Amino acid sequence: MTTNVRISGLGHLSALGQGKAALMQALAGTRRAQLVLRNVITARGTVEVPVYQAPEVVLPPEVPESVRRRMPRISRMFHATVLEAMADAFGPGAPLPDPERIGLVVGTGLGCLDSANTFHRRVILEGAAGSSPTLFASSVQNAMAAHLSISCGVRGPTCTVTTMEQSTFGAFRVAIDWIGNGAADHVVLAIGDELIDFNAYVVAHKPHIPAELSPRAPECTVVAGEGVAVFLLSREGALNKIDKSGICRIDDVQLCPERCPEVPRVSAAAYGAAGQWTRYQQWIGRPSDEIDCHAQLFGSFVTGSAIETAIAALRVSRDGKPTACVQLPDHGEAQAIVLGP
Amino acid sequence: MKVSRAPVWITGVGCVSAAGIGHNDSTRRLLDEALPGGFEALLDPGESSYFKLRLEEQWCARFPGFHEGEAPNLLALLAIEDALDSAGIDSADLRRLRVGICLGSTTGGSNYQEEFATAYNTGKLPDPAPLMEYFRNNSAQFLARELGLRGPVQLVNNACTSGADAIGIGAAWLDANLCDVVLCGGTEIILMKICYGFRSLMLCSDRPCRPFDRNRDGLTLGEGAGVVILEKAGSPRRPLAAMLGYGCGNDAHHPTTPHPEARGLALATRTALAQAGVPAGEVDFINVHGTATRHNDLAEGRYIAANFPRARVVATKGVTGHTLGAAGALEAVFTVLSLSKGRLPASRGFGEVDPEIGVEPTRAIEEGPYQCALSFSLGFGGINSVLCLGRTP
Repeated sequence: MTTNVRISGLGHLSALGQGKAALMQALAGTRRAQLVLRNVITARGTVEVPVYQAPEVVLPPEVPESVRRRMPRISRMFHATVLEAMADAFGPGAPLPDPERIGLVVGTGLGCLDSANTFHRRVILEGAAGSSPTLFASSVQNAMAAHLSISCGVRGPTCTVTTMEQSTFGAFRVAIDWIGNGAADHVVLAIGDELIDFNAYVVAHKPHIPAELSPRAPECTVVAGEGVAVFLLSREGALNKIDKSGICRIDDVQLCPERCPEVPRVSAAAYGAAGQWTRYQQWIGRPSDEIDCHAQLFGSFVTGSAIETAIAALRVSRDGKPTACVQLPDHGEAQAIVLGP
Repeated sequence: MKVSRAPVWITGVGCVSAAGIGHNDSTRRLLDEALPGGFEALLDPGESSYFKLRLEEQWCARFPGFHEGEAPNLLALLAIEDALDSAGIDSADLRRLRVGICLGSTTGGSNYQEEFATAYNTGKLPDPAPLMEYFRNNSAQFLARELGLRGPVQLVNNACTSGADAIGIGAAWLDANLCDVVLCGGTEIILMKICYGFRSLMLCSDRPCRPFDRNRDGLTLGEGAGVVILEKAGSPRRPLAAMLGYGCGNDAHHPTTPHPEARGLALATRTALAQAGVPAGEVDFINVHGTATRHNDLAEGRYIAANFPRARVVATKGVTGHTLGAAGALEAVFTVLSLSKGRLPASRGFGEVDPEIGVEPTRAIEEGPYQCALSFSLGFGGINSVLCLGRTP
């Protein structure tokens, strides 16, 4: 199957920094993310947990204060990355096409869990007096989509997909279907998750806390991370610029394929869970050294497959080699995206 | 705008809400007898401001290890079983066919997180096990495991349009030939944070809500689940109705208040009608979102008055309460029942026309026939979704 959809712009934010240049430098071996140590208090005492943490983003002055004050950290992460992808696709500062023809899909595993917990904590501690309407609105799982649509002026179809690890390719599927059936010409596809206290708290309770992430190791080497990848998807022909310089084409998004797509290069969205690499190797059916995986660059998080896909897209753009990115969730069916030049 | 939609059949429906447990019970209550106040037996006396379903005993009897975190998942399971029964699909069919599941919810599995967060936030340094259960018990993934499905799995979280969007996405999966059958719908239970949140926004009424009524004073929360079974036209099963179109649009206006001119709803409606190939004048009735909040009903009602002057208007949240992520699916089920029965329910709670709106919903059961209907959903985040459904011969 070949779709009529191209990735016309890309944005990235992770512990590697912001921008697709940061990803390229990491691929070239000239940039590394620094691990940060978090002190986590548990019933066993204080535990040091290494994490991959993205830099704080600064919103541009064009974002009105009334919008800015409503945006929790994760919405700001998404916003900054969406702006990068839009500038990449449409040109810096260029006017947007018809906003009703631009869709918005957010994929996230944990979404606004941090805001939800903050709201919850205030209600527990203060009762009704602690329940802030602004915080409540930021705690619903589609709050990022709300903030993005308002701050970026996107008015087409909108959807938030929250199916844990299956969010990434589920979100891709929604986006390409909208372009395919004519509901949108472009879709801003923003996928990611934020590192919150709960992540480090879970890791702190593991019997062994790894010092570094090795996705090919048999034992658990999970090092919690965070990040956002934004893909500006466009119908082929929707913009001349895109036809000339878009990043790559999406050939297919498979939500429950029986076997691995047959393409020259395969990338695995493994993140260091115990026994995970063996499952990937068996399903993909290739030797370990013939399978790409880059989680060690940016950390373990639920939607890390989005960053893996961004890397795959950049590699296709560079060498033209068709590439599949594969996700094997801990619970559920396999998923894959196939990218072509 | 180029739009296209292959015909999709709705071959089964299932629902659980304050309007009834199962589609037969709901049909009887809504479309046959309009039992006055019958639903009130389902109100929790201690929480009279929302429609709480009392199903815990049933869960515990069926699932000995029941945890309240599973409640939204099990509510959906009840609706799915009801829908499979109405379609005549058995467990052998589920194993043989490629069956996908796409659900909408705002709270699926969140009870686990609330349990953990309560302990964590009060300094108890709890074991993270409930949190891990929250991660594992996403409603769609839980049900795919429970039912042994081998098709696509997705949870949609678009606040109050989630259930309708899940149906739209399911139809797209059939178009893309990702599966043979899709179980689509929504499920919701009312968590503590939801109650506090809506109260903080001053959107709640303390009594069953009065959609579109001049004296409406806010929404009433409710619990429920609704599921439709979608298949490509030509399935061996008898269709109850056809899903003709789906559209979605964003107000890009405010996180919790709809655009006063229903900007996103207008786009969603245009898209759904274009997909369906149906002119606005041929819409026989609209199942409105009708939350009974001032802003929702004003924006939605004025849009209807201006664009669908001939269509009858039905508001069902006076019976079910606002079931949030389930509402769009539950109301799609009611719309299918109305189309197939040729009968509209009374809009319970509505009494006096609001002159600012100029729309008069049904006051009693009305007889059809009806060929084509829209189901509107509006949600936080400025999302608007519209389903266009049609009667099948």
